[in-house]
Amino acid sequence: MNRRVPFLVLPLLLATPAFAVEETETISGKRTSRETLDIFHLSKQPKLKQAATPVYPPAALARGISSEVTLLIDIDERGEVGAAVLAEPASEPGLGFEEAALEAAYGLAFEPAEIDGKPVAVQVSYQFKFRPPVKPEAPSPAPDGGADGGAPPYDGGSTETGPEAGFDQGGGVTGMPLRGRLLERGTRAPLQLVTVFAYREVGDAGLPEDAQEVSSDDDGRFVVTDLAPGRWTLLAENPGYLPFKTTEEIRPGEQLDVTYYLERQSANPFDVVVTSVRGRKEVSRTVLDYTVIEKVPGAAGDPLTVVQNLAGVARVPLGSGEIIVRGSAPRDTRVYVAGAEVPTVYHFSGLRSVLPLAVVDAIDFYPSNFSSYYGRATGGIVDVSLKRLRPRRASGYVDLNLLDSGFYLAVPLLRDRATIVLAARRSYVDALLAAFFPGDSAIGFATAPRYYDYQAIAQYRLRPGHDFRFMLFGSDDRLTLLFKQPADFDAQAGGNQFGLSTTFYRSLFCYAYVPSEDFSNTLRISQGRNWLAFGIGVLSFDINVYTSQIRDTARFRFGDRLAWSLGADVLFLRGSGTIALPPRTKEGQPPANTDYSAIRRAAFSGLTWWSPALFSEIELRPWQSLLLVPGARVDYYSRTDEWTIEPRLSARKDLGKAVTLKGGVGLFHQEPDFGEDYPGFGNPELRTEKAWHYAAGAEWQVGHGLSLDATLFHKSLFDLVSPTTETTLKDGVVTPLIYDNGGRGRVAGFEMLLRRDFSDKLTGWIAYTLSRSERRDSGADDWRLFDYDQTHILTALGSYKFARHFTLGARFRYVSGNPRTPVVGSVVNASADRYEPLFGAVNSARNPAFHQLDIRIDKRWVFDRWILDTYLDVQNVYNYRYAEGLQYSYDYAQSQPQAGLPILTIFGVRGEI
Amino acid sequence: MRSIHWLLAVLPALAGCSDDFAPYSLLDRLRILAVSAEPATPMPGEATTLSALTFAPGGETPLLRWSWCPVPATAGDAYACPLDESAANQIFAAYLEPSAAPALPSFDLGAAATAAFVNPFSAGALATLCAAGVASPLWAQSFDCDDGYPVTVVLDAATTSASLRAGFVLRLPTSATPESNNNPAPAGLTLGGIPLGAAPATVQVAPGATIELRADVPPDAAELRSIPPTEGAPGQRLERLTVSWFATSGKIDKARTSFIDGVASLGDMASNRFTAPAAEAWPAGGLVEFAAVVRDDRGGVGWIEGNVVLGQAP
Repeated sequence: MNRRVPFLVLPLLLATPAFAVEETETISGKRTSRETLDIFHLSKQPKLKQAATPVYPPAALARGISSEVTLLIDIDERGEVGAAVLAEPASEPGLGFEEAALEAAYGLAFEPAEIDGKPVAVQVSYQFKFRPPVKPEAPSPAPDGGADGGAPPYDGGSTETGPEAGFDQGGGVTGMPLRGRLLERGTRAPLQLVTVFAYREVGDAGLPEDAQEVSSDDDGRFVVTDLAPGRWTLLAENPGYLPFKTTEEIRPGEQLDVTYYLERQSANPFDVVVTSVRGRKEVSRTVLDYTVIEKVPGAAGDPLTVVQNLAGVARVPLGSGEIIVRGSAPRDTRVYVAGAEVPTVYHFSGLRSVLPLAVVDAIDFYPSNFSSYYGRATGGIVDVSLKRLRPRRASGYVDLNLLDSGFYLAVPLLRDRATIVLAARRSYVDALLAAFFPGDSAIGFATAPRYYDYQAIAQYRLRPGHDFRFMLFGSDDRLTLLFKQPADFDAQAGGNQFGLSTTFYRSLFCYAYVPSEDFSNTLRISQGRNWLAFGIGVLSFDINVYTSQIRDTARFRFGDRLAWSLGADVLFLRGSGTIALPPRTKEGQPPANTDYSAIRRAAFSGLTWWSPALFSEIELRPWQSLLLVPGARVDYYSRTDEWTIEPRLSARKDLGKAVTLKGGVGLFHQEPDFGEDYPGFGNPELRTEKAWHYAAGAEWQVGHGLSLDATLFHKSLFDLVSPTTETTLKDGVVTPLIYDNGGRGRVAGFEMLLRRDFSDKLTGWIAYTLSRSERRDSGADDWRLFDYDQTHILTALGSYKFARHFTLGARFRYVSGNPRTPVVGSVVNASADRYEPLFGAVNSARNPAFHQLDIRIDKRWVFDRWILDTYLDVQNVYNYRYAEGLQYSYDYAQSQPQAGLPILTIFGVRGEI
Repeated sequence: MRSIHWLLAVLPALAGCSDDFAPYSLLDRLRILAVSAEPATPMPGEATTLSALTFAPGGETPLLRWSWCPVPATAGDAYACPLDESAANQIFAAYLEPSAAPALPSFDLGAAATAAFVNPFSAGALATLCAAGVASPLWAQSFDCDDGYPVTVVLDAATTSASLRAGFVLRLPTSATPESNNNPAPAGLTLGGIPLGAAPATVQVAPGATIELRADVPPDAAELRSIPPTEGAPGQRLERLTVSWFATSGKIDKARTSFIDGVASLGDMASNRFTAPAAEAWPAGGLVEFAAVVRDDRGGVGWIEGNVVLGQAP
């Protein structure tokens, strides 16, 4: 132990939300924009091998001024410091602290960070603390009283004393030992590389003397070996944590064992979030991570609801459960979870996401021009990645809120080489509705509405470079209403029962093989089932689809300027079911009454569809500042018996360090919607729908965590499936086509995202989209507005983290109203005993603009061994009853706005261990 | 496949209709409450009498005009016939019943209170039409022929201040021996146990009080019928019936009640409740007109009317 402490230098590697790690881009090694990523993407965190001692600025030393300087340090794949920049200056500027810290930083050395066993360059936040020197003096017994310089700011430790037997004090050490462990308060996670100071406070001013310095090891343990009997002060300071200070009484002949709990300034129990860059290649991609999603006001912590706050995403009404991206139809955007497409992302069409936030790692959102890795979609992509946790200890939570309750449990196994995560939720909407509908109500519940979902994740690292993951997740929604008098629901329906069930599961096996940084291969095999059943009287469908998908992607890197990815993606579906429905209403068709006389019925089993695809993409950097990504995808669709080729190209050009120009163009295909090509319900001769995407824009890293992303976009849609009254003659029988590929569409717009990094206290973004989306139906001469055309979409949200884990957030939205087809009259349907509306020109009117303010308050109480997390999410604060549409009298002669939800308050409590 | 707008479908039912609008059962404007054909399924060459139950405020008798169309006309097009008579005669000449007129009946069926329509088609020819559709150079169409070939009857009603159009699907037989299909015939209407008829009965009721309203629908109104293909396995079941309730004043609890064998009984369908108007809305002379229209699920329609003088009970 070095007892000569001319001044104290505290090298601290942060492992907190402020901890910043940045991968350098794979091709060029050049840093690009930052995105948020779970720290556990790092299979190994960088570890300090060699500390460095900066020169104490003489002027500051002379005046006895202490200070801290925080740097951002780039650590390369060899663990060497490549660059250091100032992140937070000293509190006393101009004295030379910053210069001293920057100079010393280059003397640091680390064991490099790793991802999947591969060393990667990262950026870390690193703090130097400058403390004036304390004159070394010979140890002396602490005076009784008087040495205690005041109460510590927080004493969260536990102390045990015991015999010194078995403790190696080391040769020549005459004092008593103190063994301790540093744990994070609430989560009990070990805190490594935290420096602990032990000293005695003397005099009325409590001046320190006999100071000793030790660091905690990987398990958070530390040992101070030769403390003389008496009262000692122990100080542990870790950036991102509240300072911890306590006193211990060292008695002759006793060894002291202590455990100290350090409280994080901004607790985030299961993940340490870092910022990172994942080789940005696309023209438009937004990544939302856990910490962003959790705090967005108005979303109640729901992962996928947050997507609707991004630029280019239209607002959808309650109960829609759709994601409408850049003027494309809802079904044009695919949602993937861990690489597997899922049939629904919400319980009960929008009530809540089928995945709890705890299992979500991040959401990648591509509004257009996505990579050839993705296909079978002409709109956008939402890709939800599940957690890659590496907990050192079992952790979990129990969550209670107004809609559901759930649990989450993560357990490390096999000396941290494996992890198992289990989570599940179950709603109690059934109980709430039961309270609203008493037993003598006209409506009964044969199956009370309820949902549940479950997730299991297991991961295992055989050895570095070989990672295995298995995931199982699913969802089940069920509801059956019984109307005592059938006519209360619909006299035409021919029954008194309304039933709905939506069930799906996916199992996914993933093997990532990363032998070197020049080659990687990822194999994903998924299997699942979608089961959708729906019935209102004589209307019904009951469809069961088994889905299997194999996807393998290999990536070769040839130096710093060229990389090549290629892969195969094979999708296989096998379905059976029954359908008894009239033709469905397509986009652009006014919402007419159900025509029970047009019911069509089909029963099928063993129907199979498959769609193999090959995709390839080259990342070419002819110059350091230019990245070209040409790609192609070849698909076969058995449903349409059609081969498609999709060329795609994106480019990014750096203009200096802060500005990047970008652009892209690509062709995209997708199959007709289910049923549109089924005989009797549609046209078996339908082909794929197609779209050209064009986008150009710029990104600007403004600084101070602020970034601006602006994009102009255009889509040209063609061969769209469109309703038609045309018929065809098949075997002498007149057969209605019902649909053909005669539809066209065009979308143009501008979107902007001004975003402030979520690692700071004040965070948030402003997203604005100006767009126009039009369609021309089959056989029509004129263009019309798309159903969800929203000229202006503005979302401004932000939150501020106050002290003591208190966060206040707000979200404001202003969105143009959706187009609406006006009702211009009505006629009596004397057979069905109702009036039928007569519509004017399609989408020739528009609903009023929507605006809403939401507020969210989070408060976290951190105890030694657990955390209590509460939130209050108040939606529609000023109670604006937005009219989602018009409600009509029975004869359509009168109308009034159909008021939306009033102010809504959601309160949640979560206990975490 | 991904999204089901179930919430949008169910919420209105859960929430009920807005109280800001006049209820469907309140007769306060020009209405066409029902159209019927007697017989409900005219055989080839047979005439059926078309009649309507209408209401016009102030005792006005609406002017009626009847027409028909040999193919389904859609409500969205205000029941405009997609064919003119000349084209229709060319297309359907081959499908006519030899014993009937050599041409289709005129589309205009007159302006009387009732109209007569003679089924001009051969049942066998209609069966061919239903199986293969029409593939004429003038027009091509397929037909949904469950319960018979559909022709459209259109009724225009007008008063001095309003006009209204109604469409009615008349199913013509595609077989020489079709299933029996009679119009349901309600036998009586009672309010508070007192039978109602053309001559107003007097019922004592306090303003705002609720009393029972019943329609006497005989059990044989629901005939045995074959299960349509759209409902699944072949077989037979009883017709489903629906009663639509109307009154010129006060409030009727349920605008419609239904009979579905095994789900809702005839007794459930026959019973309703009437709430007398508030004192300030008490009708002139206490006179309230009631109507109940019964429909089956094969196009059969029948109705019954009754008047009552409400006496304000203390």
